[in-house]
Amino acid sequence: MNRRDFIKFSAMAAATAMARRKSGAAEAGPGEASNGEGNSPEWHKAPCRFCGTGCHVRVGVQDGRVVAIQGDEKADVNNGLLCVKGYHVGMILYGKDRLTQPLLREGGELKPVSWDKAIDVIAKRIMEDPDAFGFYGSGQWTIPEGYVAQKLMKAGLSNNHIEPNARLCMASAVTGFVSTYGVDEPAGCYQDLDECDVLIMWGNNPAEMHPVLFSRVIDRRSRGEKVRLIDISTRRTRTTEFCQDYLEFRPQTDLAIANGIAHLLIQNGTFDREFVDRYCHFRQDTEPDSLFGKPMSFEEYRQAVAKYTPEYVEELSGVPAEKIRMLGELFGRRDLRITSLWCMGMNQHSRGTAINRLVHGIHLLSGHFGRPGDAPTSLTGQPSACGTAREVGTLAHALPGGRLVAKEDHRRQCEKLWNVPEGRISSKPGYHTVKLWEKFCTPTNQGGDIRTLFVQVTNPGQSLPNLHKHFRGKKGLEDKFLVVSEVYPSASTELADLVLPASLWVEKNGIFGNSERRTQQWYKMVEPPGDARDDCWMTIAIARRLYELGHSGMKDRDGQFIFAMKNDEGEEVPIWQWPHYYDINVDKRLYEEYRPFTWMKHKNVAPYDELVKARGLRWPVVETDDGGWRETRFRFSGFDDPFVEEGKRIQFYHSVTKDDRALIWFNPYEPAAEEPDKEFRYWLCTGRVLEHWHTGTMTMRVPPLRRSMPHAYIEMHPDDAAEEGFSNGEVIQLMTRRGQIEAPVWIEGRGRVPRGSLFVPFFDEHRLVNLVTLGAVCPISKEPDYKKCAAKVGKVGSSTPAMAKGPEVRP
Amino acid sequence: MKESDELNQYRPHKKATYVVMAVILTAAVSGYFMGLQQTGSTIRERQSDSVVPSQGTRRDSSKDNSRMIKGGSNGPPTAPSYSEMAASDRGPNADWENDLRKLTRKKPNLFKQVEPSAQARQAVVEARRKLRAFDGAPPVIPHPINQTSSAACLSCHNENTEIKDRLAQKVPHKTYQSCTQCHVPTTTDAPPMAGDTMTANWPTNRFVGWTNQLEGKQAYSGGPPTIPHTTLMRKNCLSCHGAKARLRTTHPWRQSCLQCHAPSAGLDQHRFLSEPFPVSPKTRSQ
Amino acid sequence: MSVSGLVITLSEEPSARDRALESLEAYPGIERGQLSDRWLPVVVERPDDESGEAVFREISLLPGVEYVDVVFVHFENADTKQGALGNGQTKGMHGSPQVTAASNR
Repeated sequence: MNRRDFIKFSAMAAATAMARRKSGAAEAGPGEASNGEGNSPEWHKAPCRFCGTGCHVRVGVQDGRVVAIQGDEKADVNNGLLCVKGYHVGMILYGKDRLTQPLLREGGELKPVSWDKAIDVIAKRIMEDPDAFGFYGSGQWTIPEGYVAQKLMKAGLSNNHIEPNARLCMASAVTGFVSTYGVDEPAGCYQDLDECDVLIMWGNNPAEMHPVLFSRVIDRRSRGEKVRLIDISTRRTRTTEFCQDYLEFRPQTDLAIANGIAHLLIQNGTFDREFVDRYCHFRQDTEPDSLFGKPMSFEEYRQAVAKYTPEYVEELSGVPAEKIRMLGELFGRRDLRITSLWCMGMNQHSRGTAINRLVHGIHLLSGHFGRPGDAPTSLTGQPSACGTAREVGTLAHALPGGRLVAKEDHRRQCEKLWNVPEGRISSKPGYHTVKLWEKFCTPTNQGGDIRTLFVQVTNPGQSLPNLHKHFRGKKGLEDKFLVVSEVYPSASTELADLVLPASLWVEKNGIFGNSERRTQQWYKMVEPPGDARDDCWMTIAIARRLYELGHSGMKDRDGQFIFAMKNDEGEEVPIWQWPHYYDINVDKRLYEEYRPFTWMKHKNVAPYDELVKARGLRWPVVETDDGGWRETRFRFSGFDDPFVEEGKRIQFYHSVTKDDRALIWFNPYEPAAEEPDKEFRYWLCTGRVLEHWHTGTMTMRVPPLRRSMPHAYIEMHPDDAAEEGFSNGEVIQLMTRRGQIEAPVWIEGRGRVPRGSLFVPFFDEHRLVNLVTLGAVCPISKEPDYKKCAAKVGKVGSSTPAMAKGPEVRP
Repeated sequence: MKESDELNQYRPHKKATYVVMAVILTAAVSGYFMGLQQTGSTIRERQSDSVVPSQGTRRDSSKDNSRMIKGGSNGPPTAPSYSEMAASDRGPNADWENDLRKLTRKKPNLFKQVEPSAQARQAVVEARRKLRAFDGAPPVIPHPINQTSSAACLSCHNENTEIKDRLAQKVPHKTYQSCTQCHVPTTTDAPPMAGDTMTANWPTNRFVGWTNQLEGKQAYSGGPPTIPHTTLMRKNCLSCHGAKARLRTTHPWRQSCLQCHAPSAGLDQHRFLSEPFPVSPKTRSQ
Repeated sequence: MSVSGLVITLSEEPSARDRALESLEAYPGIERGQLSDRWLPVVVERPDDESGEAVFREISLLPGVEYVDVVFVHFENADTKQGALGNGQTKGMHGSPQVTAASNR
């Protein structure tokens, strides 16, 4: 631009601004060009699409496309900060190979079909054999998406085979909360991270997996605050670097460490006698294990944990006895605020329920509960694992709002709220995830009684454990039919018989629920590509087709379609027809229909219109005298929870024992389901990395993320590598009893494993570590252990020909 | 071949080895004593030397590392005396610096006249864009990093640090503790895989990032331009516009930038009337 | 050289407005901006400020034009080029609040 042009430009800018001001255009909404920022996009609010932290982002939209992302400074969760995935979340919409049309497998090949045909095919498969149909969703389902799926299955098809992938990540946390407090989800909130003096991370790497929350803690140091970080882990990670203490334990012995702390609290007399007397009972497991166990006395409890002396714990775990004493002393101090943080390390554990109970137990025993900064807090890995999977209860045994299919009164309540005839809901729990897939991959004549499976918003072809058994077994089973709703080709679409192109994130309306009970709403901002459509719509369209085919379950008590919706004028809107789907706000109607379900367990979620105004609200949200709505930060604490009776400091008002008391559990240390031996001499742990989210379907298509972390690797101790004769970067074979993969060794890389351990991230669809992981599950939560199995390594070609390389998913 | 033959073969070499070893030994012993003979004067001179060498006494080319190569005022570098080594703090390395922050640097001339050229500016803006997916995205890191430590980042990025022809820009936002949370290397440090076609064949992305017009509005020619970008995460103006920076202002001596240059409420999320705060109680001030 | 930024207030009557827009087309050296309702921003460039002022008067008289606001004037005559203000003078009038800030040079 030369000088003359510049002057002319300035002149025009001034004149245009004035003209707009005169015409009143300058008063228009955000993103208007009148305020001097020329081509500024229009900004909208949305929660991030990735993890369970629930950061709010500002989405910059221009010409119908997402063009920029900012951290939302008004959001309490993240205060304007994001992580590298969050900053690039807008790019997930624009990967070049987005699925844009329904594809049906004919003669082994996926061929384009119309939506009508696709919906018809699914509906007819269901009509054929309604009980052999399974619905597999995820913690990335929005609340309305999970809710319609739940209603279709349980209130429509009287079929309880509905599961979320959250079974693979959160189930042990749920059973931990339910068996301890009688009700699911953390009592505290992220404010605990601002106020704790000590933060203990149990097998947790928040520096990479929940970076924004981790920054929330460590940035306190920049402000001169002191916070002691303790990393109890099986490998050194980026988190370790920020910690004062690193306690490296032998996998599975976290059970012993927790019991060791309990023992010290009692032996030293430093447990909180008053808290325990007033608010707790003691519990132990039955034979076989059960969710609620059987009572035990304090004396019995004392004797049970007495075995776990620091020396014995050291012997089991390898953590020096003095470090165990240090933990015991910290928990014994009431002047400190202690927060425990965990995620997959404790949940994906063949004794996941037990370790969850034990960590709650030491917090209760020591009275480190219920004050800001004193909290046992579990984090979630998916944006709506809490909101959808747990609260809407899209699990084989659950009903919305913390109800169970096995309980008659719960079924009656749901039938009433759904206005379906009594007895519509089946009392028999469906198959849990691993079982569901096992049944799907077993020939029908050998007891594989799941024949049609509909997968939404998740990638089981990569994320299920022991994929040969639980996913690839489907290959060649002619009467099995896999429907996958996806945004990109994935390891799951590879075996799908019908692929449905889905809308993603801000291409649709949505509501998520994050790790701190915060319900977050957003509006559709851009159009989905091609013929991609909302998952919520797909479910409703299938239901409508079933209704047309005469399935009686698709009618309520009054003979109306179960998803019938009216507009403000009282006219029915055919929302099952895509062009009419956005005539009304379907999300809002479904959510408002769901809201009364949340009242029984006092998980009152906020009205939709309040969510629109807020950056999420934490339930229970109650109406105040002045007509406003108030959220709750600290559940069960008298100073904050509106449902705690006047004058009580703590009240566990959904207590298992019905007397407002929580349960302190004893569970013994038990060995892992598979441990290293002479032949398979390494522990194998799997997990995530900062750059990629879960199976990488979205993040591997974001160039800055992929360039930073392009493929999976095998983390190995340098001495082990030297002994095996591997050099850094050498591609080697990793084998377990279930299969093998090839990947490069990375020594002294992102994390550092101790001798005898390996770590492999699971985001890489070309190096599927889940081909080799173990399918063993926690007996109570049915969640698989992805963190521990036995493996061996060798030079490429050293063993039998590769059983399985990564899938070729490109169409 | 018999064993004795084998030994015979090595005999001539053995003689040569003795000679070489004798030479090395002589050199080492004489070197040690020569070192001891050196007076302490050189060391004293080193210790009294100011941290920043006085201007003009060093050749320009050695300015940045002048303190590593020390000698008399103009003479050649002198080795330190061995006898003094043990006594000094860190031996002969006492004033060697591997901390880039402590290297002597040219003081920027705040009052240097600059004639901003449109091309130069465009080049900087283009280079800048290459590291960002869109305006406002955290830039990727164009060099290898320490995978497990954030402390290493600040050794260069704590200030605008010039290293040869490159500039490590000062962090323009308040220093968070975990740099790699937002900034990732543009190429991985993970070992590359030979013949890795699977990874290389990932489909590309059609995302088109927002690029700001990047030109402040002036109310009139000569008026102070408004800030054309968000100030979110860019609170420290001098990081990009300071005396050393590539987008240097014409007046880096002035410290209060926002006095004249107006930010945008829309870009900075301060348009409260159209976007009210959440209705929930503000929780931090419990 | 003289550059001025003007805002033309057009008639409320659509046909008269169209007529005015048509006759503006005929003027050389006028750059039209985007019409906001009945207010049209234009930039007029003339060799000197006298002819600039003349254009301003002429436009005011066009049928369909109600009045003309001057919001920006820049002039750079040969005789002022060496003046105290260096290589140009710019005046902002009316309008923009940014106009009040002092020169930063």
